[in-house]
Amino acid sequence: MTKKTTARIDAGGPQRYDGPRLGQAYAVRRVALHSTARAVGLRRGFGAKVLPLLTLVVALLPAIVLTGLAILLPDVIGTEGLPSYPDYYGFVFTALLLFSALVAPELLCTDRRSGLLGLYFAAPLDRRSYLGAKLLAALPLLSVITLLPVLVLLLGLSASGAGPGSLADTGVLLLRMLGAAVVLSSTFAAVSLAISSLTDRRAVAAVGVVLFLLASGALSAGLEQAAAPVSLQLLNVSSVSLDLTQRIYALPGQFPNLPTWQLVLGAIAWTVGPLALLWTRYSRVEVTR
Amino acid sequence: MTTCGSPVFPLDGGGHRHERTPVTAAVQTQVVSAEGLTKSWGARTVLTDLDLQVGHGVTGLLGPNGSGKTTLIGMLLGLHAPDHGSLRVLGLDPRQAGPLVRARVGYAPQHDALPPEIEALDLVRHLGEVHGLPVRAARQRASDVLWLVGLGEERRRPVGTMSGGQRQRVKLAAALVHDPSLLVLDEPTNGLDPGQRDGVLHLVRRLADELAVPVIMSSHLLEEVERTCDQVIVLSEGRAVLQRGLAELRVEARQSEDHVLLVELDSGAEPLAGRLREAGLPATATGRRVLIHGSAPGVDPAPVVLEVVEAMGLGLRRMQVRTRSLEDVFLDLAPEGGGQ
Repeated sequence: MTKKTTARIDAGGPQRYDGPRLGQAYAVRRVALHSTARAVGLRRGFGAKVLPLLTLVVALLPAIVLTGLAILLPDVIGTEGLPSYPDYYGFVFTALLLFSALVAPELLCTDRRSGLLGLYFAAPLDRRSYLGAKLLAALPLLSVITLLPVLVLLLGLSASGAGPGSLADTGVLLLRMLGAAVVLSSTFAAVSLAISSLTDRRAVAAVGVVLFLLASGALSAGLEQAAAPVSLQLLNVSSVSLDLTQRIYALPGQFPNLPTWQLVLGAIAWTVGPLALLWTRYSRVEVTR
Repeated sequence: MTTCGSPVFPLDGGGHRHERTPVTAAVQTQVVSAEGLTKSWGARTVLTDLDLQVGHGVTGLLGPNGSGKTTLIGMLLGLHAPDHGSLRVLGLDPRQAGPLVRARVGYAPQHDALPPEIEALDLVRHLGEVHGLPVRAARQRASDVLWLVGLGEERRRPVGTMSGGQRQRVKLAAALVHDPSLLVLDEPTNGLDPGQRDGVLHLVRRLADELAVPVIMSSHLLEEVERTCDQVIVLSEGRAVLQRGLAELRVEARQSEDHVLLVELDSGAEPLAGRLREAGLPATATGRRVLIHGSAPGVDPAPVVLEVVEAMGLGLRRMQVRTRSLEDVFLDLAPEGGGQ
């Protein structure tokens, strides 16, 4: 009696695919993940990993060093010598600026320059879902830079006995950190993506992002010196986002005369405006040529 | 049914191709159908009242640059909306169901669309995922299709280090990875040397034969279409001036072969053509040549021609039956430049 076998020989080459085909939301997530990995240099050469890592170090190092010293050498540097949470955004700002200049051009310019955008648009993605994927990639990346350092500071302060007094205080503090991260990430992501949509060249876009944010800061300083109406500070995306961050921590910020509602509107305008520019640019992109 | 919180395309499900493709009975033989399709870019009309039907096999979209091929492909993918007319791709209206159509169509663009730093396998896998394949299936199929297109050994190479022919193959693999129901190739041999061109055309033919995927292949080279396609659509100035099966055209060329007689003289072509017409032969003079097209069946024009030439005392340089090529048929049928 022969034994029945279940073995079979597969013909070579691709077979018909009869499995599930997942929808547009899945495609958006895959593009977002792929973009995030590329932006931080994963599955790319060493050179592509250096700058993102360096930026993260710039953002984290002060928090790690200061809290480390406060824990290890409490007599040399007491907890009162450590920056407060809102103060720490000053350290974060430089890293955020650099990271925006690195991430946004990588997210947008590379696809356009290499022509991969055409292949994406020939997939179930459309302009809206493609840009959604890119925002989905940019926001968590920038949030890491804005959230992680203050979380490290929180851990360090807690370890040295200067953390929040109660669970409720910790909850409020975490919400404030999250709020600040949302404000900084969304405004910087929108501005840097919009600037990156203006050129196919990564380097040009990166320089553009840095110059724009620095010029914005210079404009702010100039307005302050010239005793211009304080509401003109709303023209500076950095002032708007950093001052709103201070208000989230219930501090007056650099421009106490600027009402909080104006800062909120300013932050919304600095997010929606650049996103509108981004949409306009991409709605005109020719795909099949 | 939903997966990962997103709706699964209604085209999904198990079973064989014919069971999962949402096509009506009519569309099973017509992968693409268009009626009265018109598209303008500003003041320039690119497609004018275009009617076409595309069935299975390889269909060549032939036409000179600027004839509307790329615009038509963009419309097939739902990337451009027609100004007028109707279009169905795999039984769906690409304007209404663009993502659904694009999920089932494999597209390889004319331009170089590959990021140089990424390994071929990573790129093809990623594009498989973007077309809706789960991660594991995308990885497996990416490897399979790269072997199919002859890049199995090279799949770990960054795309930027590959030759033009290899990059075209990567584009084909990317178009195939999600097991499309229709393959659209925009000038797949663009920028390739003759050897690479041969390889890609051979591969296109193999894909249609072995995977039974309908293919639309645009080209501005008649020879490519003649070699590779089952059907041809000739576009000229935004109109389909010819839609025919290649086999039918070849038969037409063969049938007319014996009825084209070329007579070359020292001089006197016009008077000879006149005398031959008087003798009942459809003769036309061009320079020093007289062409006798499709004379009546059973009538051999050669003895008549020799007799008249001798009677007129003309110097005969050459007389031969001219082989009528497929190109002649194209030129006859598409007189407005479609055969360029």
